[in-house]
Amino acid sequence: MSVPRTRKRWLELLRRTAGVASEPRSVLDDAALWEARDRATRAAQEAEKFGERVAATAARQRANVDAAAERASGALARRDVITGDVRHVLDSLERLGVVGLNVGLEGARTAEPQGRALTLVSEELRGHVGRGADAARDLGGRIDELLVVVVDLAQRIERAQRDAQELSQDSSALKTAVQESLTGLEDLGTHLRKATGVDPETARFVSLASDHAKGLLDALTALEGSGGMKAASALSPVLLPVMRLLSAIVPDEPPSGTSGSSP
Amino acid sequence: MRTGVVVSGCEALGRVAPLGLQLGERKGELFFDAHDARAVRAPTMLRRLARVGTVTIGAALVDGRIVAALEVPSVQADVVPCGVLLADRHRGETVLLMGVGVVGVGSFEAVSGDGTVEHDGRTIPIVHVGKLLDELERLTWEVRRTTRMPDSAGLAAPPGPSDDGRATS
Repeated sequence: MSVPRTRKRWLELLRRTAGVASEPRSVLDDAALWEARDRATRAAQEAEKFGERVAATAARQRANVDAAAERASGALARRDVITGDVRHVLDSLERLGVVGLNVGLEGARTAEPQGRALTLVSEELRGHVGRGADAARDLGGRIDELLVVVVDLAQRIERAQRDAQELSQDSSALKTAVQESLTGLEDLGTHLRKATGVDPETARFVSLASDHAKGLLDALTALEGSGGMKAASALSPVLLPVMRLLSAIVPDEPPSGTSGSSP
Repeated sequence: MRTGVVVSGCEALGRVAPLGLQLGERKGELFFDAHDARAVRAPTMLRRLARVGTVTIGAALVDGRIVAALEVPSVQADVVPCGVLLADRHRGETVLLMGVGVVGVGSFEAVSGDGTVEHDGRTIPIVHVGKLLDELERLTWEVRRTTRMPDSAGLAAPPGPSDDGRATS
């Protein structure tokens, strides 16, 4: 057996091995089915993992929103107390103002110079009381504004609470759906095994071998086209075991267009 | 110089014709002498009995004593409703004027022979409490005669609930 003839033969074997994929229903189709099923399974498993994370995040978010709602509710519950405190301050200041007025009246009735002193004390006292009362009213107004904001926040938090609850329910539904799809993929695997008679491990190796055979064929065809087949003789130690294996796997076919020639 | 107190918000008193009060140029201001205006007090209780125009006549509990009360509609919402306790030295009668605001206390420039004082460039009429009480008494009798009701309930119907007590101090 000459070298060119041997080369032609294993190239032919390789072409036939790689060309298996073009047959209408082959092991390669089964392998592709298994691969697609594996990809779907992996994707579903990823989806399940992310779904769990979404559910955990939604639960944390819901807890935070609930806490915020409780705080807002607490702030609103203290509204009456705060308003009452401001009113109490105003009450005290007004009573102090009345004391100032009475001191002034007493000063007006009292002879000089004591009367003048009392009047001055009264004016001073009423001035401070007036400024204090204005400040207390301003403070009360600002507290009222803040409380309006708190009411608005409470309403927004309530809406966020409803959204968080919805998100939590949706993430639970998502988890169930993903688990359902994983169960379906397992069933698919069982039925695929029955239908194709190929187990997933074999299918994976077949698919792998097909890919490698195609790659090897492409490279050798390119080498042949570039006229570098002499250099390819260096591949003999690697390719000879492959050729032996291929001869065992792929059955011989009579060469087309020739008659009675032996390989 | 006159010592006393200037109060505002007495427009309602000016509208009650029998009282015949001449009010100040702005805000319905009136001046009371320091010996007539005894103190500013928050009544423990105020009971409204009758109304003449927008002025309410009633009774107030002040420092443990019941005194006559005259209330004008207040423009400011006080946390502690107070009144000026006015006394007629000669008759020994007192009346609590509610709903007014105290504008100033102390010494004011008297306008000679005019019965007025000056405050912040405004002329404020001086009110004599005795005259105010006389006019008030005449008014109540007049109301009683026209309505022909023998008792104190013969005055015009009291505003709102007749038993309008409120603890303010």
